[in-house]
Amino acid sequence: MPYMISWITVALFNVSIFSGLVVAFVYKPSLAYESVQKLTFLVPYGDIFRELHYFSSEAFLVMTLVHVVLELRKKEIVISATSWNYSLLALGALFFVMFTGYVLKADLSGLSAGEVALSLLKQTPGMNFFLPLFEDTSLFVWKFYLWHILFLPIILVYALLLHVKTFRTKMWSIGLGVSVLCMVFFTMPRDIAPDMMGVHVTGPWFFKGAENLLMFGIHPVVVDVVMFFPFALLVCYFYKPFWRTGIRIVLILWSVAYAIFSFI
Amino acid sequence: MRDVDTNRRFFVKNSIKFLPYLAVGTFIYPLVSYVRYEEIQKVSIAIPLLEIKSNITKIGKVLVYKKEKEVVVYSAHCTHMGCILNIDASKERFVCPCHSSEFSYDGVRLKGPAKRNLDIISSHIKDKILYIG
Repeated sequence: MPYMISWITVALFNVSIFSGLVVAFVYKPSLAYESVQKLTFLVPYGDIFRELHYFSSEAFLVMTLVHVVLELRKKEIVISATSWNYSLLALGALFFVMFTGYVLKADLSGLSAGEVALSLLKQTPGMNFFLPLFEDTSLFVWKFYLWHILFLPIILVYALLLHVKTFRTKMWSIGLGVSVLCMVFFTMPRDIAPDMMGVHVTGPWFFKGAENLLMFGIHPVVVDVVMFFPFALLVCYFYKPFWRTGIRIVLILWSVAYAIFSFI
Repeated sequence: MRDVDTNRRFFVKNSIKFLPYLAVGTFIYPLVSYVRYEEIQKVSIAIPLLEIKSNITKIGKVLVYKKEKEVVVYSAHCTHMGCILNIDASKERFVCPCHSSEFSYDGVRLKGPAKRNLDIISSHIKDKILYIG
């Protein structure tokens, strides 16, 4: 079962990459929101490819998290230190690429998510060094776009290759099938026009907990620590075998607390 | 002609060897842009006063508040996490769509996680034209 989940995850990644290539042909960073609307409503089959890209990516993230949970349940780690480290790099890059994709749709929620991310960087001592890597005063989505279509996919593919060895999977059809099923049974969130008044916007679902913490007035530095905490634990998990049980318990507690904050 | 001992596995293996260089290369652009980064870009906007029809107008990322005798221009970024504020005309307030901070038309923080009042942007009127920035 864990073996199958790993390969379905790889298949979903393939579907996400290929549907993303199609979407990239229409997307223009200089007319971000307009090009997304054009893709959705005017380009033949554009909405299908956009939804396929959205749901395959979401399913890829969910399956990756399931894979992580299943691996943590095992008594022994069967992969090498290199593979473990690259898998963590891939996990970080995955969250990052999902977030930049959310910003790129350039509707009110996407742009607001981008503003919040930049603000988090500005308000965190030491992190503001990275601000120029994302902020562009002339075209807001430009650097998010570069990260999403170029830098992060390269990092992700490289890290995943070292972790999974190959992207060849016989479960292509299952990956595609899962994406299509998601398209049938779930609805993609509607875009909110950037000039829409009187609406409440939220970030991507995996940052909702952090967003609610910010809403409660928790300092951005604390929110940063909360978000990076599980990654720090996962690094320790490999190198400190005697702490593994403790780390598992802390990770479960963190997940429950984060889920509670996400749903408040 | 010499037989070249190559196959798909050999080709893929050797192609992968270049990936680390490519990964390092991806950081060159951000690094260059970091070095060339200018944090403050002073841009002046000119708007004819006649075009500002209501007493509160949102123009891009600024809010223009026309009082009886003066015009005040605020940054439309919420002072909490930088989201662009909405105008709630019924309550006569600026409302943050992200974390629900609220500000009066005078830019004073009323409620929500924001701690500061709105940032005022320098502006002046000359020949019935509003110059912002």
